[in-house]
Amino acid sequence: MSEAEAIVDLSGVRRTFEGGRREVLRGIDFRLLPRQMVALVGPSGCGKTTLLSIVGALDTEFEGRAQLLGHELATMSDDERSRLRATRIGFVFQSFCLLDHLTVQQNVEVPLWLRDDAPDAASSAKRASAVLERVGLAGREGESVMQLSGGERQRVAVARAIVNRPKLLLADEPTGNLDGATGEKIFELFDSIRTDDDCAVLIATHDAALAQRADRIVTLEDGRIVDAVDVVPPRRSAAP
Amino acid sequence: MRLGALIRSDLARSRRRLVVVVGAVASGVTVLVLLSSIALGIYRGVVEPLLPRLPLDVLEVKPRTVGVGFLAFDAPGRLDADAVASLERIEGVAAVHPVLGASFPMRAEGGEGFIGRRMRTDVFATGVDPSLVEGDVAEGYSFEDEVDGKVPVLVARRLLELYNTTVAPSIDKPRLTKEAVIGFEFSLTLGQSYASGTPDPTKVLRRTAQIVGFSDKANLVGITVPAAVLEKWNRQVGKSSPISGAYVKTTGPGQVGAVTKAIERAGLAVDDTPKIIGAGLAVIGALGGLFAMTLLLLSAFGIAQTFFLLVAERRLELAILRAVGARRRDLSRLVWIEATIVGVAGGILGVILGAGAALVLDAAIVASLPDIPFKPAHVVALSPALLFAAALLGPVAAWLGALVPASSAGRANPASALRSA
Repeated sequence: MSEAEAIVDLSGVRRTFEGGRREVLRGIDFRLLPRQMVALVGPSGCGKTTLLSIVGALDTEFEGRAQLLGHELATMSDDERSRLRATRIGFVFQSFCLLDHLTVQQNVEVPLWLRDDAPDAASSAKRASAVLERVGLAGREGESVMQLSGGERQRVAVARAIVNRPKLLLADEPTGNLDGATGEKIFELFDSIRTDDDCAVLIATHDAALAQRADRIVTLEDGRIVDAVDVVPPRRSAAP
Repeated sequence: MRLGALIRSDLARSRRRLVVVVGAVASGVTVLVLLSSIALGIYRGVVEPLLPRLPLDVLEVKPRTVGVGFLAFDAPGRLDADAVASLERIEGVAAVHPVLGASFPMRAEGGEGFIGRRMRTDVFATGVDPSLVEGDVAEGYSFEDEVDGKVPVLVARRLLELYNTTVAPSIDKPRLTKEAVIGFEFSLTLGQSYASGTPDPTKVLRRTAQIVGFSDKANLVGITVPAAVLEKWNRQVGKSSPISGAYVKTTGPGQVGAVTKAIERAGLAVDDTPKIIGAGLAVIGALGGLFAMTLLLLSAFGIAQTFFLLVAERRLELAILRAVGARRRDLSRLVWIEATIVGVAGGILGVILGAGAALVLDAAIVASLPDIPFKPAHVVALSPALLFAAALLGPVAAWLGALVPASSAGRANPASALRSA
């Protein structure tokens, strides 16, 4: 995999709030390669979530250059960014962000429903069941997500994130609300998604131990990348 | 894109609040259906039967009079042949039918067949163009000229009503139907009067009159004969043929206002009954429209308020949907569809309740009415067009109400919402 085919390529990305008075990202240069898992670490308020929002095409009010899967984010229309999120990006959030009024299966199916080429009900249900089986929730399709434990809810969130077979999985403190063992399992899930689905993973986390499971740890402080180290030899190619 | 499951679950969890909104919309539509059906009932029961008697495109023109003490004099602006000719030239006038007066006294005798004894009375005659009253002549009779010495006459519809309501009870005689009176013959003596005697004994004619129909354009206190007949009688017995009035037919009801003004400018008076009815209908229509608009806005306000709350409560959910791929218009569409379902449900429920209430009210009022001769079969009326329009009020209110909330839903910012999750 060549560097030109990076999943995410940020160059000089800046993001300010409050009319420019508060600068959260101060010139970020960052690349994420296919099948690479990068842990984004740093203290609260250092800009991890903001960076994930930009990478995930949720936040477009930034300066600098941001390429995602070969698309220039700044020039894409809102519909194009939505389509990209629906089909190529998966999100996992610390607070799970599930739709509580839907069942486990329906939560997983939502990204399928939102596609322009939404599969029919039977195909959609079949795909959701397969993904739920993969995250260890087979047979729980009809349950309300309100009845699930934190770890189970996060697994539903992971299932929802991967149901469209994305090329990029973004996770914001995915283990923040989970105990250590459950967090470990979620990380294992990410690892399997990365390897089995050919999917790059970018995780913002406070958990230093889990960060060590990534290919690379990027440390963010006060809106700047202050450190970037490879944890293990990159499996495919090295990121700069 | 398949939003059905999302919509179903959204509606299900907000059902209590949405039921209240559906109820509010339904209440508005119910009241609208009820009032409209009553108005339509009044229109069909009262105004519509009145319209043929007072067609809104026909004006009754009379000379204007000026009262001096206890006497009334013709004001400037006489109604003569020249005035009739100028009326015909007014833009918007299709035809002018003068009403001739008689310039001689006349008396009538007869009635044995009906009341058992011979009645004698002075009568007054007018003459009209047969084409003006052709719809009022009974089948099998003609209103053209004297036939076999019999003069065809029309009498006022109200004269029969007056007889039945006032005269018949006072002389203890049965009421008469129109059918019984058609064909009735009586004697006329032209040039003689019980009140004023015989002005010129050399000019007295005797004729037999036959009632051939009832007309609202007939003389209320006498008889109406073909204009040509009265013109002939005026020449034989009287002096001239005065024009006592005229019916001006306009090219359409829309021309009535302009033609009325032109006639009044010419110094003549116009019977303003059609104008009053027209104005009344316009006021009823305007009030109905205003009422419907008020209901529409109130319903829209209720829907807007509810959906504003729902959108605000679902801010995080909408952001989640945006994060997983929903477009702005998908979220707006969610709100639109949910509001439409609420509006349609409210509209249909309102129509059902309104129509039901109208039917119950109709039955109750009709049952409570005394057994009068012209007792209406219904006092409220429902029409498919009315029900359809009322049902449409629900979704229209919903769309109006959803305008801003739908737009607000589409503007949900996934980044900021997820940051605060």
